Amino acid sequence: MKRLLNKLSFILIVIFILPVFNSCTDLDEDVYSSIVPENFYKTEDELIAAMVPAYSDLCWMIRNRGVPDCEAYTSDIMIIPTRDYGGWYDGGRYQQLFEHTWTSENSCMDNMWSRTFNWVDKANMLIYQFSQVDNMDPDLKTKFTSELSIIRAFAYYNLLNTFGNVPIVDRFDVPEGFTPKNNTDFEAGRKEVFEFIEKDLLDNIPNLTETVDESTSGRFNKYAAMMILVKLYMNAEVWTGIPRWDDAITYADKIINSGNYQLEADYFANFKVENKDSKENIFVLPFNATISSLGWAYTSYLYRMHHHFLSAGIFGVSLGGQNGPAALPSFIHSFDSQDIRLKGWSIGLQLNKSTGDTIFCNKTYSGKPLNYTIDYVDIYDPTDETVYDYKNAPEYAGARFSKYEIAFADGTNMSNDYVVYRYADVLLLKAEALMRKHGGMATEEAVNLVNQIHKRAFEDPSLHLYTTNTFTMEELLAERARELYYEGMRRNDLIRFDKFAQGEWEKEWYDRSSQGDEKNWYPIPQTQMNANISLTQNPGY
Amino acid sequence: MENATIKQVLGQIENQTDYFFMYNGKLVNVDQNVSVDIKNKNIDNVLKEVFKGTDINYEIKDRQILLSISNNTSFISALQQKKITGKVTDSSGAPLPGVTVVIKGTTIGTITDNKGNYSLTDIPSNATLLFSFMGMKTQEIAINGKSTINIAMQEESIGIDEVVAIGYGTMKKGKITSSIASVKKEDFVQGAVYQSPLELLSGKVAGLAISRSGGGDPNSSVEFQLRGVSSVDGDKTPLIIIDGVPGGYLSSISPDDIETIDILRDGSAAAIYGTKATNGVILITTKKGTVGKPQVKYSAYAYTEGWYNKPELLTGDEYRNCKEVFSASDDAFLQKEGRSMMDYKGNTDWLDAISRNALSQVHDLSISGGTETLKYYGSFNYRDQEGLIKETGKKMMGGRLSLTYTSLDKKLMIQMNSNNTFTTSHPYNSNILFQAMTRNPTMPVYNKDTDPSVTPDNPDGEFLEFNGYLCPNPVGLIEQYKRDNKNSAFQGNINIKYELLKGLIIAANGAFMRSNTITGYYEDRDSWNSLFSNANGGSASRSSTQSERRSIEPTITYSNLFNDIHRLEVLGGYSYQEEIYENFSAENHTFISDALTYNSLGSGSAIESGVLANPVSSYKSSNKLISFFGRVNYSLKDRYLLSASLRHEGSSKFGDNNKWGNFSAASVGWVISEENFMKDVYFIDNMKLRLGYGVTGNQGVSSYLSKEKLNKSGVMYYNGEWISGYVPASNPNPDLRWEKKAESNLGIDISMFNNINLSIDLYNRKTTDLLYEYSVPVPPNIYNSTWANVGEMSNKGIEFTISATPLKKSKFSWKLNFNASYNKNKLVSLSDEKYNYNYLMLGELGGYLGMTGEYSYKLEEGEPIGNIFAWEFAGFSDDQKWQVWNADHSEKIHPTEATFKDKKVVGNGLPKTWVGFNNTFTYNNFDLSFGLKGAFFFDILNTYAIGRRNVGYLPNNIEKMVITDPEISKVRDTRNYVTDYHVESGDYLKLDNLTIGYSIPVKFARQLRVYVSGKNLFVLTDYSGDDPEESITGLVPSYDSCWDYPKVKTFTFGFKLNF
Repeated sequence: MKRLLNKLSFILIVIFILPVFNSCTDLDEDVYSSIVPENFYKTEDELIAAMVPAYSDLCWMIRNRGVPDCEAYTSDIMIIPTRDYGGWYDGGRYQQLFEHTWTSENSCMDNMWSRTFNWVDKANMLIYQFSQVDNMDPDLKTKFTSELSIIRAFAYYNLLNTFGNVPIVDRFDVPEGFTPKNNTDFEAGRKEVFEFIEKDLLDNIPNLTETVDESTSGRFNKYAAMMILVKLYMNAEVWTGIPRWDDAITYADKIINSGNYQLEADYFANFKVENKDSKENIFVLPFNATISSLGWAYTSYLYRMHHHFLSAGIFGVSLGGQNGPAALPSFIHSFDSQDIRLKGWSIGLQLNKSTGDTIFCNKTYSGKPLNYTIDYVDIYDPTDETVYDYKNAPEYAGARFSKYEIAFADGTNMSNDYVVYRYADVLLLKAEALMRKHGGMATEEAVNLVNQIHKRAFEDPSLHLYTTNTFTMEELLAERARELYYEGMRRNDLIRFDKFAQGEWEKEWYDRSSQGDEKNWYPIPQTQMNANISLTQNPGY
Repeated sequence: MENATIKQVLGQIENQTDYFFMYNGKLVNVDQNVSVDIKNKNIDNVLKEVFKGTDINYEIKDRQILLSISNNTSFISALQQKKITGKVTDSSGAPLPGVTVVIKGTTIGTITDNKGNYSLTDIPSNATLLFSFMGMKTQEIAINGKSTINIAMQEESIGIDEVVAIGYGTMKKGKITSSIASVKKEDFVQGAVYQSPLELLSGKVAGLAISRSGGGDPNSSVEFQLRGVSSVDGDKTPLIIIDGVPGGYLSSISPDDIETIDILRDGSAAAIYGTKATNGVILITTKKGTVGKPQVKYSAYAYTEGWYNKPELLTGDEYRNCKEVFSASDDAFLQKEGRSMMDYKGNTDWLDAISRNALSQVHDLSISGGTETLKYYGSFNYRDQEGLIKETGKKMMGGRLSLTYTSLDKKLMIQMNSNNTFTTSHPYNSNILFQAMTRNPTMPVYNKDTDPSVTPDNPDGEFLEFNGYLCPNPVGLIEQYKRDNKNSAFQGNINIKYELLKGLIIAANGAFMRSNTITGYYEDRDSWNSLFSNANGGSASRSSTQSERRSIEPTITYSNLFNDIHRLEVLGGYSYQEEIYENFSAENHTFISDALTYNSLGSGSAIESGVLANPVSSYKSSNKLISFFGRVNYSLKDRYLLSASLRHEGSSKFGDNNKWGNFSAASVGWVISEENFMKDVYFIDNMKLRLGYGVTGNQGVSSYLSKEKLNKSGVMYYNGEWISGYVPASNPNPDLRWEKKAESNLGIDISMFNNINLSIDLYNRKTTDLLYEYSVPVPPNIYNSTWANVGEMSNKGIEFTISATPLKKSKFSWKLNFNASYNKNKLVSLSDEKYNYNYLMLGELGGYLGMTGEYSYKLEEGEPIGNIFAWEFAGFSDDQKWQVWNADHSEKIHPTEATFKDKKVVGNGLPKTWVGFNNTFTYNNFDLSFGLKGAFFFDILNTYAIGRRNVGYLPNNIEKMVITDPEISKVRDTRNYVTDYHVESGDYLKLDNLTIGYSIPVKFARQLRVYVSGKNLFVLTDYSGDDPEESITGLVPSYDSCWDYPKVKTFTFGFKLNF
């Protein structure tokens, strides 16, 4: 018995160990919930699925205080004020945007940089990936590759606009140890980036589709790509020192003469929930409330960030806002009181949409009616001597952005497409180019272009038409703000008109007059300087 | 036994029991034949039977049985023929009766009489006498012709013969050459232990910091950290080994089932465990069966918990009064605050509304016993724990079974252990306390109690709710959100040992563990979330996760003693460990009724209407660890000790270029007290010097970081349709490898004056190749972060332990243990030529409006972990605003004018010194024990005070002190800022536990002890928050968050009954 047991135990131990020694030193990883690249890029469905990230990441443009937000909050139209209860101070990062005192540590810098370079990277990666696939339909390959090059150009356009001298990376299969470098000379580097974008656009526009309908909505067709070119040429003088007004007019005309676009009769038709069929919108970021992976952050940037906590009732939606950004008083005052576009701002006493009941404040003015004021003052206590400004704004202060129709499709999201490029801008840019060529003076053609837009903004257009006498460059800049507010280009406009760096708006709040020209570009974010020691910081930072 | 000689019978008894026989072979005839049955009888009966009908008398003295001839009056006189006499005394000179004196190499001998005298005859002049006595060191004295030999026996120092687990084996404490602390069950913390078995060690082990940072949350675990923070982003807690099985589920082991806990502190001890051992190793040995009649033990205790320090907030009436006074004030600032305050006419103590006097109970029943061949230990335990915050709690039922089979020739040993637990828990939602502290005390809890002038935003709901930014009703948070988790965990192992040849043992330890958790979550349709945050109309989700671990570790050991002086032990082994994790979860929204909660996900309509992006998801991952290891222990004359080990280990988690690594260790020891020159130092009983060096690894990162893979992500509008995409999931790093820690340790163990044990250890740990997720440029990388091995960290420290029994009388005894440790941490580097961080900002201040992006901890090269980085407070300005110093201290400025450059390191959250002081007194049947625990030289960032101790925090509720404190009440700033004003010294010394017990003498049981115990009874500290026992692991230590579960005081009543 004992012997048997002893033998048995020996056998047991052996049996125990044997199966293990089969795979004795095998340390391969078994991947269960992800696809390994060797098994992908085989079918057309997979190739299209691979293309998705190049576009889906574009919607990050308006998230996370990215480029469009910073174009507005550093300019003369909008601000994220610090509220009197302390909200939205957040380390002073938004005050810095208004004051133009940002540093490379300001997290908005990194948001702009990393989101945008992400598009460059996805485009490069997919161009490389598609070049490696040999069973792909050659037409599809050309089309996809050219679209990806345009996405890359769009990304670099945004980078040129914000940081200027950024490293150019145009391939995915970089050599071992490669780190992106920018030019050590800022002006020279900025010019290189300009030339790179121009070439990429000119090379690839011929391969893009001319179709303008639902099938190309949200993607770069020929005209959407040309729009980048127009904007590039419009700013050529700022970025390279060489004006390119004729080139801008050439490509603006190509868009205008294509006959694919026209102004909508109703200004707000471009921003309503069902704005997919707008004839005016040239390039949009498509949204759909029921695709919730797109949803919340997007709703948040068009509605929830801006409006008061208790604003759900005002619009009959399920969610309130966060009481963040608001218009600068001087900007709202710049509107003619008859200007229809002023309705894109919530001003005054706020009522419940269905019951008509007054909505009340719930922070420092608990119990007082919610009354959005254009100016930042204590309307409930006229004797109050406290200074109310961008560092200390009453919870109700400031007109709120409502240009996009606020309605939730199902649940918590909005379905409005976000407008990136619009036909009205083409007309205004062409008018500007004409005037610039004319020594900054209005021409008949330019005034006619602008009047198409300007008259739409009034009930009785005949009373509000510009003439070559009344229309000045100054007026053009102001009209661009009233037409294109919060469409992601105000800072760019101000720089082109040389009104940004020492900007004079709301001077009694903050005086920027002694600041230098380096405010016309942003510092390279500290996080990126840390991540890549080959980068040269922009001058002045 | 039939017809055996007495000698054979005695041999058999000696083999099977601890008794041994002494007799003079010339006088006692042991060759007579007898027949006896010696099984299962007590020794007295056996002996009676053996010697029945012979002339042999016996006398049992302790474990010795002395045989004599009946016609002699005594055994001793029978031996008195010729001449060696002497007197044996103890070290103080008092005579020592009962000392065994034998001639070496024979069984001839005697014992001393009650005056300590002995006498032997017929002794060869070259003989050597052996003097032995329980608890004394055995002494050898050569006769050298002397006729009188008087000696003083030295007491054996406690402990050096204790057996200590060292990983894949055990060793006598006296032979150990590395830093290992061992705590036996007698020395465990005596009061209630309910969060983790490691609480048994609270304040007991130098270098092992234990923090109950989760306060009274029954579902939190204690934090523990050995010898400082050794890693930035890898695992930071020690490896847990239960009965030899790596990675056991600590939380499912009942503290009552634990026999000993051994802590491998230094690298030379831990290196045998390779890539998982960087933070030290904790070996838990559970109770096993012992030979004898069944022993039944039942212990039970009940405990109640209350707030350690309940914050004093404004009551409803005080709030109303405050509103009136402020509104009528001349001060515009106060006027405005008064104006913002609303009176809802009610009076609610929100802290009372969410809390209760928690009452919990714990029961443990165990049975053990067995024979030489089969020993068993089984236990059943049940715990029902209520948390201080309503609804939070845990119910756990568990059982353990351990069987040990030993073959009669003792060559084969099979041991099986299994442990099962079933747990139901209701976790804490941290928003509950936050809201209760914030909410206006004039608001009633329920809509029905609401004054008609108040219009709630949910007039039909049960709870008074308002729309707005993050302001749910805290009682609603408790009652309208169901969180139910159920877990069942099994861990079992089988350990087989077989002695192939003498000294050569092959063994295998195989283990299997599985833990299943199913969670259910439901938000009511009129809960605040459903109404005002996500508008989901009721949300339900369920998830099921399973984690499985298997391991098999065959080993072979050889041990032998050569030429009486060379002791050698060699170990070789192989280890295979595999982990598989699987998860499935589903959610749905928009329910018609709350009745179904999470039990019928299909009843919701959100999946149908398509608004949910990922209503179902599942995931699976696995990883493997394979190693070969070996160890050699050698000692020369038990005086010069050497140990060396090597583990060759590979992990699937690492890059193809770096799968395998070597982890080596060596340590030496010198038992100085064995040297001749130390023999005269009478007060030193044992003294040993240790020096060790060992390399360990850390593989505590997720799987697949080195591999390219694609995950579903994002959607695109393509030809008028929405399609989903696939995108690379991470930047693969094929060079990824483990962190490497090299540690040297110098230690000394001294036992002296028979009852004092002293240990001092000095260590120097250097971790290189720190794992961290680095920011990298995009492009060329796909993602902006990559896991890489870059930095270097150092920890240096000293540990000191003294334990003693200052008093040991029959009625009264006193045992004490004092330990202290000091650790100095430094992050040497976090950069190389490719990856670069000079510093990182951490610890974002969440929870308050306007604090997003405010980081308060700086992780910086050349500095220790846990530096608090903020402006320096420069007093209040004339208009009572905050002021801080600018960078060069030349100007006082308002914080909004100050920049990042003006911030400085203003404190550090990692305690440098830990102290434990434990005492046990017994007097007759009474026992009393208490443990003090302290942490020193660290600071706490009181984020609670930053946000709330501020008049500007109104109209949210505030602490009373905000309006009574002479300084704070004058501040006229809307917000607070992170300055060193709120960085406070965290130093504390607390009465961690106090237990008073009484053993009631009863007939029906062997022991009945009743006790009362208290935990966290008082804390000596200057800290102005609640309990300064804060989180100590991680990179933002001692960050006192306003969301934390409250700290508690615990009172326990319990009893233990042994049959």
